[in-house]
Amino acid sequence: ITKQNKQGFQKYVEDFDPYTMFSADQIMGKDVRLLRIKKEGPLDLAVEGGIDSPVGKIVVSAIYEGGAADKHGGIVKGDEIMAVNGKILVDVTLTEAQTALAKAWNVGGDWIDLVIAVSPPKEYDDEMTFF
Amino acid sequence: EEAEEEEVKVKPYTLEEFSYEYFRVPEKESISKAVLHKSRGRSQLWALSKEPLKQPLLRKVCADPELRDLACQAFIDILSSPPQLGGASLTVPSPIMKFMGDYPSKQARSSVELTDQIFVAAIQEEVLRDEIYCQIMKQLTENSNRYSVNSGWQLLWLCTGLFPPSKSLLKHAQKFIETRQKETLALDCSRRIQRVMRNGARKWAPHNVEVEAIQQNITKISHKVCFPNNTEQVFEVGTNTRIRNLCQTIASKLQLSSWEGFSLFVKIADKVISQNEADYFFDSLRQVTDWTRKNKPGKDGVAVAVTYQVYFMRKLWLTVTPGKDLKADSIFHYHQELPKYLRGYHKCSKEEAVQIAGLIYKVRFDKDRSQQAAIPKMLKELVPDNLIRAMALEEWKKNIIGAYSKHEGKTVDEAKVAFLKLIHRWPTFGSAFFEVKQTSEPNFPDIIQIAVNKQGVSLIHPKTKDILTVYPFNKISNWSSGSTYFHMTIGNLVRGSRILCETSLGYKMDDLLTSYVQLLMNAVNKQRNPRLPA
Repeated sequence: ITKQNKQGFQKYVEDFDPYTMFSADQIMGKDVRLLRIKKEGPLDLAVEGGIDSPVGKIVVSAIYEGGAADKHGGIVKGDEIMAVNGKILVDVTLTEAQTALAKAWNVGGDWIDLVIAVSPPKEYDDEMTFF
Repeated sequence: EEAEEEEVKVKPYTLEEFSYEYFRVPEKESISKAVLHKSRGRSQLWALSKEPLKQPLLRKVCADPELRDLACQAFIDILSSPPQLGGASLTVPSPIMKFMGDYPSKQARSSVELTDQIFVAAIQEEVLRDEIYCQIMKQLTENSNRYSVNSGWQLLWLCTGLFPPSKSLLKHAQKFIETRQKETLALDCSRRIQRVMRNGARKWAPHNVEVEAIQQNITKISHKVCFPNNTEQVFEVGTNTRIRNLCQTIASKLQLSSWEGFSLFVKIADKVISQNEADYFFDSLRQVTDWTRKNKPGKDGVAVAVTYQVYFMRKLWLTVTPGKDLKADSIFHYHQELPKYLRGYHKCSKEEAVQIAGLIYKVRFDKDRSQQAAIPKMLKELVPDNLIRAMALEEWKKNIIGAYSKHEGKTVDEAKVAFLKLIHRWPTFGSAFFEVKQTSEPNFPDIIQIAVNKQGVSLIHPKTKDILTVYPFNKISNWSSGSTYFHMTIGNLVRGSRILCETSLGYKMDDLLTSYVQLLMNAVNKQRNPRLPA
């Protein structure tokens, strides 16, 4: 399957095999993708959750406009972050994940490798609340 | 010197006396400048300066290197204020100087950026508060530039609304203001000091609306408040107006029987955020607009103007009985329940839907029957979303006309109450509904509807609208939320369960639960100890 966005460049690495990094249990029906994000300006991506939180995983809580993550376009709020530059993040605390992300961003190289599990499109409407 | 003061009785008081005890020793260079300038023997740290401060005025502030920098920064912004004076500046000017136009500023910056530089640090660090008072009063002493003096008084006016001076400075500040009564803002400044001492300091720097108002010498701000029935009214809000005060004022102006359960909301983009009644109105507004800005920074970090609306609505439906408070029913309850009903959140039969549609038509068109032909076209505005396909369009039309004709004798307001009375019978009346994806309970569908109302938290099947389970508030032991989730534990560790939902509205569910529990606990406490204030 080839998934490309409107501009035509690849949002994620096509021939990535998640089973080389994760167990079947960890993947369990998730749409796992490897993204290459170009290091231009700040990443501007926030995460929440972690192994010691109710969510149990590292989840993208915000993508700020104009940042590298936003410009890449292949990652949205709600996606799970499973690994960064080869470091597995499926059972780490929030602080550990934030440190790993910052380190990966600040270390040499033009790209950052992010493995994410895509959050399925919402089949429900949670934008408006009536009190 | 004393003889001089007696001669001119209303000689404006200065910080000279205060400075001997609390100001630092003047710098050498400023002494020589003062000598050259006015050929006085002594430098006057308490009087106008055209140059940025290299050291804070107060000895206490000088001792702390971090505060020292903050204090000097603030002074630079006081020196300059919009409209910006042209020309390039040689050094970086300070906020206090900039605000007052005493110092040419190269970079055009908004007034609120300047007032932030002046006040934010002082709000957080109490030691800096006197320093800011002294810096402003210094710039108002022996200042002959009318424009700069006006801006200075505007700054002092803002300052006196944010925090009071310390005990040692208080009487000097008061005397300073009292001996300048011909300044239009002076009287109000003295009053504001008294008020802020009584009511407590603000937590946030002035909101854009406050700064823009005082720059036009407007000391009374009228703010628009919207209501669910699409009307709006203007209310006066001041520096020290708390949300609670405003709610009371609105409720009494609208002649509501009580404001319990009502709340002020700020609507920004797609978010409707409930405001804490104990907060100052402008603190609360500032918090929400800043938060939105942080989440959506403009290009190159330039602050984008955030548009918002203030709403007054019912938030907690604890003691609502339709027909008991007609004003509340007709302005709020009907208009808040209608969209929830039309979204199909309740379990409702076809027959009930027909009756209710007749009432909705009555409310919208009163005696006008000419719109009846258009009923099939506007069915979405009369019948719950999930029921529209339950009957043929013409059949809906025929039945709704029949139901409407039964309400001929009713007024519009009576029809609103009748609508509410029908919905009031359902266990989901007065709920806030959330569509979420739950991942913790395998026996329930993935996508569920959650209703929060006075009964507690109900889980509802999204298709059948059956209530799957109700968790009363006293069984919910813990809850938390993030940007992407809401989590709740029920019962204790031994015999408990948990609900984890994927939702971006976790903050709202969290706040609603907290508010209901608080209101219920208040009610219990009042019963136990009637003398306790609410």
